[in-house]
Amino acid sequence: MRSRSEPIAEGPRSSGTREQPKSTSGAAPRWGIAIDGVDLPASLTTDPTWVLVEEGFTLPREHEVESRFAVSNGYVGVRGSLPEGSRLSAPATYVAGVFDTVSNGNPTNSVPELVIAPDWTCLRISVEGSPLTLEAGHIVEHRRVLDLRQGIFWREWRHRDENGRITQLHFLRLASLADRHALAQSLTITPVNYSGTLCVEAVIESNAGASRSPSDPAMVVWRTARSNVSIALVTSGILRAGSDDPISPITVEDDGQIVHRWEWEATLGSTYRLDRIATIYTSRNSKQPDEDAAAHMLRLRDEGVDRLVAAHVEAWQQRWQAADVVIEGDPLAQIALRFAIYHLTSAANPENQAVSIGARALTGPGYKGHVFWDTEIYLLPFFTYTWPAAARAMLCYRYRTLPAARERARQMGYRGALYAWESADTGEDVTPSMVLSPTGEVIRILTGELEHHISADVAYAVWQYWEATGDDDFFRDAGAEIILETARFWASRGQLESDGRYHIRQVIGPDEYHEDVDDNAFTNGMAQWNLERGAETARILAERWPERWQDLARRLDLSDEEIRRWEELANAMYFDVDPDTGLIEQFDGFFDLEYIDLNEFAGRQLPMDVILGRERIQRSQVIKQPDVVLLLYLLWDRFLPRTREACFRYYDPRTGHGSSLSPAIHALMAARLGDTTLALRYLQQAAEIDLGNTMGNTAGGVHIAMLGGLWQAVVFGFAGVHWEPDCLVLDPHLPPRWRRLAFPLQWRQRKLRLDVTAEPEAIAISLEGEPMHVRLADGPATTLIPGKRLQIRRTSGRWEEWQEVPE
Amino acid sequence: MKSVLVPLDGSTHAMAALPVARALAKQHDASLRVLHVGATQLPLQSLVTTLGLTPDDVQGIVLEQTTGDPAERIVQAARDWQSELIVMCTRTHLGHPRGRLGDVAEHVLLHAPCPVVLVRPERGRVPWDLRRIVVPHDGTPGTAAALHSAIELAERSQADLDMLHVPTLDLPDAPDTVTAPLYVDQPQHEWPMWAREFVERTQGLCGHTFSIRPRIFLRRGTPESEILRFTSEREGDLLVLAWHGHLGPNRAKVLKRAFEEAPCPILVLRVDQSDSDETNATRSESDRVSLDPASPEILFDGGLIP
Repeated sequence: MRSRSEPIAEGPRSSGTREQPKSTSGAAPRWGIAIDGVDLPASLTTDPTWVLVEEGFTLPREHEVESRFAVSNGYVGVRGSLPEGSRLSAPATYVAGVFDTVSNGNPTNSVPELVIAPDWTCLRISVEGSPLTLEAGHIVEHRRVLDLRQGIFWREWRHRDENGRITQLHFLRLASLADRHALAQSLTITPVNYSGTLCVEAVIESNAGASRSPSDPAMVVWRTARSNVSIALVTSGILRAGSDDPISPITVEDDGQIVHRWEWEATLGSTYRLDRIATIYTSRNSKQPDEDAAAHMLRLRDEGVDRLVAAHVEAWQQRWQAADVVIEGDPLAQIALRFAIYHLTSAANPENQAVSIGARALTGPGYKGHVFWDTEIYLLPFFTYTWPAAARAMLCYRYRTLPAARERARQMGYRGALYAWESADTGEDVTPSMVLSPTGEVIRILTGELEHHISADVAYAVWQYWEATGDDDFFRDAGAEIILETARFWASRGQLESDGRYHIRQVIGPDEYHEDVDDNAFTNGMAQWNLERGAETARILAERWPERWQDLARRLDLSDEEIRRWEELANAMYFDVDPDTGLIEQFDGFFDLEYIDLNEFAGRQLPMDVILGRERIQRSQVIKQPDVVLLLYLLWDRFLPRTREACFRYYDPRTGHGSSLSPAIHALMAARLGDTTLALRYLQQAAEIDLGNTMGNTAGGVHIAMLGGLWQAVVFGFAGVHWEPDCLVLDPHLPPRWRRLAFPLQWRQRKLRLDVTAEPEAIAISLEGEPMHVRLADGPATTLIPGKRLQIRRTSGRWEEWQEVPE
Repeated sequence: MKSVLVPLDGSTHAMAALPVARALAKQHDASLRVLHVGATQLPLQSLVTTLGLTPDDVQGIVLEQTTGDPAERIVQAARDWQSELIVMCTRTHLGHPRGRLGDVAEHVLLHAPCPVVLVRPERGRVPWDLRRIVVPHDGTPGTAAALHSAIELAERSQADLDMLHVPTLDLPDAPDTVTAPLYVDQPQHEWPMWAREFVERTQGLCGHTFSIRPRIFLRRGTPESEILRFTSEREGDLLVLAWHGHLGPNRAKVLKRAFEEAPCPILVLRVDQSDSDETNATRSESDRVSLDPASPEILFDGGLIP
């Protein structure tokens, strides 16, 4: 697959008349031209391992670029659209949790989707009255750069219009990570070879239902049609030329749009800078969003855009300090991981417990902003181990939506809590139940009805978070109730049958190619685990927080007998490992299905269900994504090494990887099993999903769960991190060309820094916080001491002893 | 004045093109110019009789005649008149095997300065109305660019536009090709999203923003079979095929099948060869790996793209 948006091999390349940034190590140079002291309020990162560059302009790929280059802070997300627009530009600003069923111009829609807020990014630029666009005149140079380190979307553009006038422009855009209600964009514009009239119009698209504040011409208040959420947006812009006084805009209303217009006589070679700030509030988190947005704007205007940008950059530095993964020896893996961490960080908001992260985060319209199981299984570990506050907020969303999950279980005839397969702001199930063909054919979508493992997945994430953070408050006040209610669901979902086993029938597992199956291994395995944790949770509550237990037991009508029943059902759960082969059957009858050699389809560019057709794939052993293999990873210690190896080798050649979630988990498992060549191939496959040309797959937004999977593949796969109750266990397997893998982790108030090197083969760990144990899977253990960096080397295949080494 | 050119050789078969040409001329707001290339110039009334034109047929047409090699004269006339379209029968001589493109039609197709609409003689002289246009699209930029005039026709006629994609196992080499997605996480979201992207990329590639909303269909199977099956099933009135300009062995499989079996007239649009080099054109038409032809299946009937 080709990749257009790719890391640059060196610093920004020189082309024609563009001035070269002066690259020096350490201090990043200014980007582009600075004349008369006018420059953008930040400097581009030039280290190629920190930037994603899109050279030129390829119109049909514009939607992909917009997704990849989105800026977001977990509260608000802005697609990386061209501010002046193009025929395929689809600018969108999303606010987390703001959904509506009739947004975005489709009156018949009954499924809630993320609302597109009024567009604040639009800048109409004209030279002597002629609009400046990439689609007219000649692009001398055009480059977009996603600065992962600073969380800034940069753009550099040198354009010659039809009259030969050359204009140089630089842009930046950000969604402040330090101040989540603040957005900024800056522009410098230089008439390179002419003097003449320049005009910049900042346009706020005034969607239907928008109203302007009578007192503030820069404010738009917009109310969603059905969900009745108010969104208040205030913008402010200042244009400067050198040390001259700022040029004020005139404000006009033009066909329902609010236009702030700066028009001036520009001098050849002079650079002019426009700074725009936007503040955004909604009635979801503010009683007076208009007043809050206006007050916030006043404060930001006083402080100035430079300070806003500096605080944002500082916030990103802190996040990278806590989360950066360094991979030396593999530039593509390095940029893929940083791209992943950039979008993961951009997606989360520890301050908001009412939202979670949808399948495309806030980077695009795909999947309507809905939240799936991916959030807990694929995304959450990154946050749990690097940003616990963000993980906590996301789990609190599940706690807040627990009533909806209870109601869903009740409606379907079960007890406890069944989380919706797809949820939006309320937690009610919003899975489209069918797709209508134009000929009226109804295609039923069964995932909403049958894919129930999500309840165990949420419980798993709660437990994992609690184990990793020791956040007792969360567990006691929220997490425990989720685990109890999901356990109760599983106790009602199956049947204790005449064979004495507890069977869960008619489900869909993670492998969605096979619908309506009985005893899916993943579902049964996770349900069994959930039932056991339910019983354990009850015991822990009773012992440690008896008042809370009594309160919960009364409110949920939980008896000791019910808790015992959970344990009985867990023990009776239908789940077998073949003692001869070590294999686990994915569901009842899977082994009898047709084997199809996927090697015969090598090089395919289509998913296997498209190639084979729905009927045949259901009769075959081709699976969409890891099912048994995912279970082996999640419940690692429950299985013998032989079972893990046997199952992975059995299911790997049967896995079609028709889901973007799939390759990263196979990378992880292959790495844990020591097959680093296969693991690296899968890691690259996963990385290409958003960074390669995957047929518009990324147009609707980045695959945020896949990006979480990439992080897990590297940390839990290649570094081989896993946890025992009070001990970090390491079993690293670096691919041949990786020289170094280093990253931080957090565990129970401790901060760890792990550093795995290939030459010499060594692991070094430093710790902040209380002492803790660490051991190698095949080597000695030690106790980590705060402030000391311990290292262990392996020579001739044997681990030496842990030794203190300098930081 | 714009024109639509209809060559008639006096055969009954040739007349199948006339109702189609008449409706298309109306759509294009163009004059309908009937051209006869004979051995000699005929008196007007004799010409009318020779061509088999009824008084109704003559209404609204401009009759032209010339002598010489028919194929060359037709191409020349289209050039001279700057015709929008040439509408003609695939074959007019009974001697030709069923389905084969006649020599004149082949020459015109290869050398025409404008798009050509080919009408199979089996269609006869029944009136023709353009209500549904079927546009197979392999996702390549060359095809997308060629579709520009088909989209315009749909917009002018307000006909429904069904865009059909029959993916192949591998990927065309042409840069920026868009085909079915490799990852379909949740079909209820992925397919509508993909369909929308497919249309919008096509807009970008063909340089035309649609004012109409095409329906996107994804079918599995051998492209030539599926395209014809789909056209019949959808009761298409016009099948639009993008063509790389070659009719040799292993080339233009879909088009050749359409000469034999298309249930409706075929609008042939030339792919700009500067957009798609010879290697790609060859590969995309002949070597791409079809999906199991034995079990065609509807993959996505996505409905209207908002």
